[in-house]
Amino acid sequence: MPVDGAPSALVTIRGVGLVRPDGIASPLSLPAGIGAAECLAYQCKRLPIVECLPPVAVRRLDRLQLLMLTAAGLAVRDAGIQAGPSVGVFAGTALGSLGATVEFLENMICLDEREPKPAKFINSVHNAAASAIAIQLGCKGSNHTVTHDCVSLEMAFRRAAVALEAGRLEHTIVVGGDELNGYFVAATQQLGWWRTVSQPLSPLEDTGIWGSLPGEGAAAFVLEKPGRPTDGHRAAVIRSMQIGPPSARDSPAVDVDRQCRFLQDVCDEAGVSPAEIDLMLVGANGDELVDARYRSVTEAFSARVVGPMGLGCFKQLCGEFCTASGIGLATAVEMVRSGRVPAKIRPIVPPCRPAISNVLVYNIYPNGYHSAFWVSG
Amino acid sequence: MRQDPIAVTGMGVISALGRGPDDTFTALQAQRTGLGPLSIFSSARWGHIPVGQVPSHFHIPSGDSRSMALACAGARDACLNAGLDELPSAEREKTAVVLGACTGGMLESEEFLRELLQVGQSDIRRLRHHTCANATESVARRLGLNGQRLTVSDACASGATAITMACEMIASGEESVALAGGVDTLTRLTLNGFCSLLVVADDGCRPFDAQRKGMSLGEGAAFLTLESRRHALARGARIHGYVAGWACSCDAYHPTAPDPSGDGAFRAMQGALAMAGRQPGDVNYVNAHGTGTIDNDLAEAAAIRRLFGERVPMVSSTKRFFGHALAAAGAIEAVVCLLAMRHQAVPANLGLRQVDERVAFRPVVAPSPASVDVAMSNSFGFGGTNCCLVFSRAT
Amino acid sequence: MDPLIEQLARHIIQVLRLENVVPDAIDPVAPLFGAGLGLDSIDALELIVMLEKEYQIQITDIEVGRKAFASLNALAAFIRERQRCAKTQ
Repeated sequence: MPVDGAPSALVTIRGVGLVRPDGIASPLSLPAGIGAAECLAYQCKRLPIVECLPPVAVRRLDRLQLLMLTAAGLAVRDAGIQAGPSVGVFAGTALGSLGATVEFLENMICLDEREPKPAKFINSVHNAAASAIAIQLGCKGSNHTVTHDCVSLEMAFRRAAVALEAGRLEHTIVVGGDELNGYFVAATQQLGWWRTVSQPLSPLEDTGIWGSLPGEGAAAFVLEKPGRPTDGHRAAVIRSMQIGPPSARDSPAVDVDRQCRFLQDVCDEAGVSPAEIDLMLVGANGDELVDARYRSVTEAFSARVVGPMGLGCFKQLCGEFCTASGIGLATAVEMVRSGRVPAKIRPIVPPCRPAISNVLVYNIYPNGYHSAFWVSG
Repeated sequence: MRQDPIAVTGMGVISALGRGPDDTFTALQAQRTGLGPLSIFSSARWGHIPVGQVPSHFHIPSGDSRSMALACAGARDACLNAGLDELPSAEREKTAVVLGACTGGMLESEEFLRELLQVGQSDIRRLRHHTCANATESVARRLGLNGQRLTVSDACASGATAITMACEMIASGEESVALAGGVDTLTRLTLNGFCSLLVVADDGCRPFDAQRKGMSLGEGAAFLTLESRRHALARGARIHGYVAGWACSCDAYHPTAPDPSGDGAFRAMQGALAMAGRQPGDVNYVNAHGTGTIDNDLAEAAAIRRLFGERVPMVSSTKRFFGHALAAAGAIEAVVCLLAMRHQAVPANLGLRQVDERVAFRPVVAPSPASVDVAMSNSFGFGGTNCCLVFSRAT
Repeated sequence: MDPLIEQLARHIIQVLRLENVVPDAIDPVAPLFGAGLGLDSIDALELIVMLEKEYQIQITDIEVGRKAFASLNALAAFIRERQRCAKTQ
């Protein structure tokens, strides 16, 4: 809790990097034998590569490494920092380099272990992206990859903040990402996660539609301890962030009161009244059930606040994937940095103040975890 | 700034040497290797390679993945060992679970893929234990531990980095107690993968040996129960030893090969000592990462020589006992260091016949009684992740 | 150009995904690793698999691989020697 009711600051975000699809869904081929032959998905069509990297360095990198390395490179450039022993990398990915893993295994199975693909094995390890970032950007501080399903980005963020607070590092690059993979999409299609109608996502506006659309992407943030001179590089301040565990009483319906208490805790930790929230940016994904949970919580929480609270969604930008919260966080940072809501967000409830200073990013996950970041300009 | 030591109040270990710290120590003293034939799956090309497989009498409960079963058993042992089952429920609310894992449920997932490709269909429920976090959540749920849960995949350093993260949670006051460790199973992916890199010895690993041909794969799980010294003393817990210091670094050099200068390893070792408020001369025993590959052993030896100069303490790699259990290795070797301090005996660098002349020290070749007050454990992984833990004896 | 050398150059370019490199551009006597093409140890492993697949030659020791891959000429000589040994057995 902050002292004297003053707003607190957990970390300063010096720079942001974002890699996401272009917002237009296209067919993704799925492996045979599981379900449908294809599924619409938001795909990163042209994998951008950080300009300064020589082709010989990136030719062997696989999809997730390219996504996360590009995001990290953009964030470092935005932050204007020099790499070295005092810069650490904290990556978060739920599924890692599935593509490289599958390619190695399919080859192994089909060729009875002959003619292996060693480069694919090397890229299949979960920390391959964090490793590529360290090598290409010269980061010699600690290097960690969190693989805790949907809250991987949030947990990486938390560990990075703790490391900065303890003085172990001067800067950390926090990067979250997951790549599209046909096996993951096919398996989750069997669980009813994806829509079969050809309609792009309009979360919280879609009605009667079951299923979202899969996506991919990566978001990176350069963090430093609050209060340091930033010499002009200061994108946002994270006043608080929390990760809520699943309830011991598992239930498909969301516990609205518990979620509202969670959000109030986040505000209390930030030392700011929820009335100061200009916009809640939430992880609704267009699925009827998922969006209903977000509607019930945001309506109840907003009702407790004096004055209307703006409400917007971000998954229409990137589709649904495990670490999509990073896209939401990066979008929130851009909002408070520019002071406005970009057109691509199309708020469900417009903010009542002309300038955006405070955004609450909120996500609820299928396994019961939930998270929130208070982002201030 | 010197860190208050974190108390280790419980240990659990399952490996090719068997289950429990006592059985593990007995095998170390008897110089009995756990390397043997692979039997949990078949491999036409690599089935002859000796591996550190958990003994077949270890029971996998129906419906569990192998990884979940190993993790839950190792974690349960550490909890019972620490008397956590006697904690009031409010305390269990503040007990974190931090797990290092590389392969997760890959053993079961690759069986799904094989059936899908060869038969044309397979039940996707076989993928339900795929992710690394599955074991972490299972441990927390089954043991009723409701603090933070965290899974890290830092390649071969994962078990050690999980311990550092748990220590950070306690040091920062986020948690009172944490269960930290690592788990990994043998898989076709890692067997074929490491063999394709030409870094696996067909006669078992021989760390630091002049004729070494590479690593041996292993599997297992190990956990430490960690809490602040004040908390441990207040509840009258038995203290096995302390985590006095820890540090991580990254080589930022190559996806698989370590920086041959050993600079990243040196920085991690130096940082851990500094946090512990210790000098190199205070270290009595180093449990080396010592995989038995040409590159790792040379780079690590360079780092050890640079840190300790002419006065290198007793050093051994225990990888020929366990195989390289990947994410579990750092946690298993933490237990080995604590056992060395408890029993005042250093395990042998099994498999050594003649030291590589480029290694400027002579590892311990037989189990040796020794005064061990401070022990250091190294864990280095793909991607140049380096982690060093410094342990101090309970007095 | 020696047909085997040209064939090897094509395989190297294809297996290692060396975009914008043509076979003629690889000097047969120049080192393949370190300077020049800038290949590394992972590339060597990929080339070992290529030898198994295209020429049915197995290398199990990375040191043997390092000598064989010293240059295109060295690689061609290595293949010819192994093929000669195989014929005489």
